[in-house]
Amino acid sequence: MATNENTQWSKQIQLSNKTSECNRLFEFLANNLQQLPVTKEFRHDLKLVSEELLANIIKHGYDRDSDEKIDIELAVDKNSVRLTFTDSARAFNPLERNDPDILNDLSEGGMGIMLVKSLTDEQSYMRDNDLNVFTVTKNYNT
Amino acid sequence: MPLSIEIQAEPHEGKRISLAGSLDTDTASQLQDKIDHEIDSTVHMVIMDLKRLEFLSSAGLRVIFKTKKLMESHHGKFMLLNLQPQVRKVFDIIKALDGMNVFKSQEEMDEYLTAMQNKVLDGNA
Repeated sequence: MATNENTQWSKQIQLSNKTSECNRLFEFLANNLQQLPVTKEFRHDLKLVSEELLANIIKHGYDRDSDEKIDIELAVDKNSVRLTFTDSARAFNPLERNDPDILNDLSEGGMGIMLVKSLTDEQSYMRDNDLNVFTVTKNYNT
Repeated sequence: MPLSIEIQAEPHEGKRISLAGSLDTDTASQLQDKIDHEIDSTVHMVIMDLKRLEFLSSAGLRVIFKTKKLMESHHGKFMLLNLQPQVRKVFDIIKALDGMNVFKSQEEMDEYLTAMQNKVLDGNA
């Protein structure tokens, strides 16, 4: 997992590739973000971003009905919160998607990553051996 | 957080779909199933009331757009009502409110419907 010398603390959770796991993800975020002096909107944005990233991996990464794992790390420093999603699915860089044409194409993804880009300050994708590592950073003052 | 879906009949062959809770990647299929069962070409108007919807993600947005398209395919009306700030934000980022009938309140929607009704009556006169 990417760690950074400025990191004050970090927490991890491992989820399965099932959509029902987003409830555990929400709980994990709610429990760990409550101690931060951030706005309700900040918490909401981070919740939305993490839901979209989880959904992306489940839908586009792993095969349906497979039983796989997704590791999530929440790292906090004095300026920002960083979320890192690591999975062992096929190589998939969501940042390479084009923005969707909402009015004409509903089936295609792309809306999720559009939200992620809009609600975070930095996004990065890395293929590390057999792993997809996707990291987003959200600064407190944005 | 679960999703609760309530569907009620409205005048003019309409249906109001009231959502509460979380419309996300886990719950979106519940709404899609309900719509598949309840909304067909005999329904002329769908009002989606989001007053108690606390969370919306792209999976939920997709169901909402699909419903709008379904209504348009048989020249029905589709309306969004009572978007809360955090829900509105999602629509705004996707720039999804263009061409949508969005109302801040029941009163605002009633005014619009009355005006539409009068227009139809004038047209027939």
